[in-house]
Amino acid sequence: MSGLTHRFLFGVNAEISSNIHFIDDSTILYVAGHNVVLYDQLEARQKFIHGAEKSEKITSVALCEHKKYVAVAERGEGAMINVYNTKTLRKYKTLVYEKWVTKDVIAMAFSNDNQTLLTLGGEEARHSAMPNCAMPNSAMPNSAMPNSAMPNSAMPNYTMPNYAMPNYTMPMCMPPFVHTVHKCACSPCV
Amino acid sequence: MTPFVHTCVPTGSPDWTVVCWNWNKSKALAAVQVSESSPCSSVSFSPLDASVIAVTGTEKVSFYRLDTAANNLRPIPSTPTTVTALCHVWLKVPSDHLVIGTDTGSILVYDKSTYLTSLKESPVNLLNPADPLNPEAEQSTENGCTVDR
Repeated sequence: MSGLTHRFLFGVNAEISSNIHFIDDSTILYVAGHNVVLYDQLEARQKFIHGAEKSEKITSVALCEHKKYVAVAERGEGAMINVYNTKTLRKYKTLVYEKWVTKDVIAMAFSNDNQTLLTLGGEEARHSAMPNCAMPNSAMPNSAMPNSAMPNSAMPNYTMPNYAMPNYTMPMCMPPFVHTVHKCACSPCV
Repeated sequence: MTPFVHTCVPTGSPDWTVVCWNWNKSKALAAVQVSESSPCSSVSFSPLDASVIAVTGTEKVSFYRLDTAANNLRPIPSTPTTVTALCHVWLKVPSDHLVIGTDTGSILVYDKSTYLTSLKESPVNLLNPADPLNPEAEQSTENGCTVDR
């Protein structure tokens, strides 16, 4: 048996609203970086639901009424929502809405009868497609970002069709929030 | 080679679309664009009537009814508002009231889709005590709410 497994994740992703929930009396569920953490406070042990490999970040979580399923919305090629079983940590369903322009689902809610899931798509966000928590290699110093020339190789997943060139300079018009995506304190990010 | 200084990124119209799913079947039941440009921040179902949903955000407090037969979300006429809602929660008792916290520090109560009252104990009122020249604002109902409609 070899290979690395996650044992403990520090930090919490504070960019998401309502990102902490009780699963049972001792277990809480929250988002840290690109993972959903189920933390047992009595045993001080964490279990994880990792974000999809292709996605950039988790944008929203919602727990159903009987705490059996958690819906995790992620920003990937488009917005995608995965529903996981909180006991087995297995993926139960994937929801994709083709007509969405947006990549972000900023809020979700289960109905009380657990039959229906409500999702709110955010702003059209193609311009903010920057590498972040998903990629450990992308931890660039924030202050150096606006003017420094960034070789394209530093951004393996950042595809800018036609614009990508070795000496690509960050446009000054990039919205400020692009530079503050590294808020989470998990070990790949700091 | 001159590096690009500006980048034109084609952007579609802003989205702000609420989608209702039957998540067991991975099927989108209904979708509606809830806002043209003003940001929305949260959605939720009424705890008592699973067909009523509330959407709040910047200058937005609106309600929709999910029609599962026709598979659409229809807006419920509601009191127009200019407040910026930061968060909201539904109450089950005495009926499905929606309580909204705003960026000015007031807490508003909606009964289904009609504006009912703002709470006297809102942070905005605690910081700025009521105007003595306007004692009517102090008038309180039995449940501790100030009615200023």
